[in-house]
Amino acid sequence: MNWRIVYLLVMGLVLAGIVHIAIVLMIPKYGTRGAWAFLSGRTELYRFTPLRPEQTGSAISEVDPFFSYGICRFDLEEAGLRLRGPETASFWSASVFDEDGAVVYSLNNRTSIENNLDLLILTPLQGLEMREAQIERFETSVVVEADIENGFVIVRVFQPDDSWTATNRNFLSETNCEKFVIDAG
Amino acid sequence: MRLIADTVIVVLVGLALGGASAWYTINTGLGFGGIRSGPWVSWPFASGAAVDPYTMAKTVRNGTIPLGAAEGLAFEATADSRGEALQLACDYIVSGTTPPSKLWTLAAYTAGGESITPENGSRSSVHSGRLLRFSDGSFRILISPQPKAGNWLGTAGEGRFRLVLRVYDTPVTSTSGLVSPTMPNIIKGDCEA
Repeated sequence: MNWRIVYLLVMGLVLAGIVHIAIVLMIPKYGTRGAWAFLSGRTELYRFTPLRPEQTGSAISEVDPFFSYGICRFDLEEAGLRLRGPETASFWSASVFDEDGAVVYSLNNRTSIENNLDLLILTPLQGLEMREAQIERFETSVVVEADIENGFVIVRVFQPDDSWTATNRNFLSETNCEKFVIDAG
Repeated sequence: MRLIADTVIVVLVGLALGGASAWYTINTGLGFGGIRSGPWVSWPFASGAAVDPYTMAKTVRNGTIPLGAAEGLAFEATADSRGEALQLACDYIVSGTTPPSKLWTLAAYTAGGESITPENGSRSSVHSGRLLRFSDGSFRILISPQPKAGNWLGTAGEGRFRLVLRVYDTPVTSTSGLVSPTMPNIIKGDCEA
């Protein structure tokens, strides 16, 4: 009788382990509070959208109050992405996410070329095509080859106080998120 | 009959323990991806394929936008240095030094992750550029619902809260070992009765 209870408990523990792993792995796929689930419904592809805290509400929680944010969504199946921002004195940083919300690549104004935001996101195949075409005008771009389809880039700019609001709004509104297609010829 | 009873017991034990342990590790950060330093915990996002599943699940569940490795690192504290939960009714002193970084910010959030906006016009956040420091570079920030001299981070309301310290452009994320970074202490002061 006692052995039966021990056996049942051991079986229960094994099942508990499976349930635990399944929950942890399933949350990113089926979680509805994810930033991606929220952002994909409200932003257009290849269009840079500044995020306003009053619009995002509680969907994106724990936002750093000293930063302004902007987002650009892309689909590499369609075309590569070129993200360019104007020069600015503010500290900025950006991360490339896949559709699960995992960080694929990140940079800040010190790790970029000439402190400018100029990012080119391509699939490995598009990267190969670009190198074959030897396009020189992209030598100041940071080229990221990502083996993903959908994703988004989030750019953040530091805003030490309200006097920077206008500067940062300019930076975010002048940031350009466009399709990158290698033209033959 | 006995088979059905046995199966029911096994399934119940499995679901209860599995669900509870998953909830617990994700919410409290006892998962394997966290770095602890005193009361502070951080879930660094390894860029590339090596993403820790606990870090991933926590990020999605909380609806936060994680910081990439080149951007910085966010440290979260839900308790003071003695391990007692942070209460909005209490005063706290955050003092010491932070890991080397270009800039850092400290912000208070409610237990649900929303910003705290005190009515007395103070801010529930401070950043490294606007801070009074001691001559050795260390600092002291007073967290209180009441105005304080020096570096004051205002709070309001009641219940638990959490502090998030974000260090931007820090070498901590790029050094391989992620040696336990030096973080400030959180010391509890007076509490409103």
